[in-house]
Amino acid sequence: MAMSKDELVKREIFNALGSDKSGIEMRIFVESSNEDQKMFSDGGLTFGLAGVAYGSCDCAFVKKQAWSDPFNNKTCEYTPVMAIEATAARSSGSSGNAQFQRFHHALGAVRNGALGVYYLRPGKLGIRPELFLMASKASQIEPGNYLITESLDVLKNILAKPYGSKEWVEAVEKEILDQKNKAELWFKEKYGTLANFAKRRSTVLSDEYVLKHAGRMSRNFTDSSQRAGHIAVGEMYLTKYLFSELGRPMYYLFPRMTDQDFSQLDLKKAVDKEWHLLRNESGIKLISLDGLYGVPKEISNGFRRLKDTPLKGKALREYNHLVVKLVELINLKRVGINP
Amino acid sequence: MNLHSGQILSFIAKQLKSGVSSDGDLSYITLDRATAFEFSSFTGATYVDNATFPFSPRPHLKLFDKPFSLEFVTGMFENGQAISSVQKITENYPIVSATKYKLVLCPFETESEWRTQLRSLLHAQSQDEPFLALRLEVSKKGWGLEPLLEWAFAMELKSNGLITESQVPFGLGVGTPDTQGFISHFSRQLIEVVTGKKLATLSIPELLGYHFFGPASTSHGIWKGDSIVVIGEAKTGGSSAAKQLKKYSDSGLLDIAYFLSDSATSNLIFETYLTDAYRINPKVQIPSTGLGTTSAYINWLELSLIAAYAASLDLEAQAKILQKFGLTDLGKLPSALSQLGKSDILRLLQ
Repeated sequence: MAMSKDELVKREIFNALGSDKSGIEMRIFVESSNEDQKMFSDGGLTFGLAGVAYGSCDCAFVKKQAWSDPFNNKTCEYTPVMAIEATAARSSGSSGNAQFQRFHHALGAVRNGALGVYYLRPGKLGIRPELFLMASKASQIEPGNYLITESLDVLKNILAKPYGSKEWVEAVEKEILDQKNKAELWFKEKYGTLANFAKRRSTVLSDEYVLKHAGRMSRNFTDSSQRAGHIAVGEMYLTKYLFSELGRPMYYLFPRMTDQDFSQLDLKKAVDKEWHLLRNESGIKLISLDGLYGVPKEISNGFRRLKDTPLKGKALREYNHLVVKLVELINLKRVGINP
Repeated sequence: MNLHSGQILSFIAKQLKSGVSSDGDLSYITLDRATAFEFSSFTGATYVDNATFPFSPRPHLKLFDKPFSLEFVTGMFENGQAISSVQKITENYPIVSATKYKLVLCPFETESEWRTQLRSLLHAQSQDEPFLALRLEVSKKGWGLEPLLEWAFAMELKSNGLITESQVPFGLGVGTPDTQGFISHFSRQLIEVVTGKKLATLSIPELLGYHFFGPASTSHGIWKGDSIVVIGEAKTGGSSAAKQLKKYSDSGLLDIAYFLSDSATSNLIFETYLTDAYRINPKVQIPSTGLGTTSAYINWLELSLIAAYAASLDLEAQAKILQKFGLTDLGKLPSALSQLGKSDILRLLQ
């Protein structure tokens, strides 16, 4: 009676969307199967690009048509049409950035040119509006479209159109446009400008670069009970997509970690998808405290003192104090990023 | 690997006190619908309603998301809101209501082979006696058969009169053993009150099966001892469960922990599937030690049993429960129950 919710949500999707639609068919696996972990070209539900794999999806609609997998250039007999990552997180208290944690799962399909869908099953909590913004920007930049939805009817409507037809394209474009409008309205009302967003969301916006910072520590990535790696990836994509229009270099700073920590994780987490994504995303570079120059000793020592301490209570207050000081120095250009 | 299909079917038939039949090359066991539902709920064996994503009730039986704060989740409820699980399943999956089923084994290397077998079963099956297909993932160590051991152990516990489920959170946060059985004075009273002695034990598959089809044909014993908590940890393919068993045993909340294995010894293969942590024991022998009903964990188990009972009812019966307990939201039921004395709960459920 403590089985995972994943299969329940998959069942709901299967019941709502059916398996065969005008020349395309559903690829889906039961919970006990590991098949979804295989790359798409090997019959699985994991998408990737140039050797970097993203998280696996829950199901996909595929068309029998030869396709070259951009992960490994392997040719297979099916083309991905729509890939769906689903979650029931809204029923279990995920109101904050925890909802971001599976954003990258469907992003792989989007980067492969398919329609990526992140289905957040309706629950007690709302969808984080940032997700609409991230998906909207991803749709503008990436080869495929990315749709965030809580409605299987929306997908059903798209799938009712013949794949590749004008009707299909229009149905997708309409949803993407609605999503864009919703996202832009929210952003305008909540933040107004990128500078304001940066100020309130742990981001330094300088003339030369964009620097997002977060209090991650090594244990967040080594302890399997923690989902911080997934959330960090989501935050990285939020930064990347939101600030992409500025065309500036972007950095993702973990000030409680060192280059040595990164090297150790590179070894320990060599096959971990989330760590691999953080380390290999183009256009945004992950840096530790060692990636900065000019950091006063009292600040670097402060971060080092807190490197293994969970950020709550006094530790959180200390961390926030150190970050405020660090950001002040960055803004004064007394601290900068090592070339 | 020391299993093969013939042994597995014989093993299942033995548990069910049934026999293996054959139709040409196809070997199968005939199950009544209540037994098929229970078997599918424990093992994940699928009804052959389609060849892409065939149905098993197993994932629908989830009761709690945060079990020890008794927060309901989608599954038996809909985010704490009342739904009729029985209605939901029978409407969406009419195949569960056939009179009889043919349980068959489907060994496969790849998911593509599994689907090919499903397509062939789908084509060959009759509406009166459809197939129930048990996946044998031969590329996996132990063929992915741990749930089968969990089911077999649960049936043994049930025959001793214990309430049993698989994947039940244990000891207020110690872990989640594969199978668990328990009984207490209060839970015995509860069974009598809510089923009018029609069921000897209660579990979610059993409750739902009971509301679908009436009592299963498998026999029950009556546990005559004190309160008892038993767990079983299953491993196939020669893996050890020593660490998990030690963790559960060290909790001090347990009467006995069993190691469920398909390969306890090289010469006593599948039939000796149940061994405890220390000695080969082909039949479950449950000592009558007992922890007493004061344990907070047993209290939690009892409350979760009432929640499972409420979830198995139709909407009308659920509404009556809400009315009796003065609630507007079924999600509040566990916390309301925890405020009441046990005699009050029984009186209200009467």
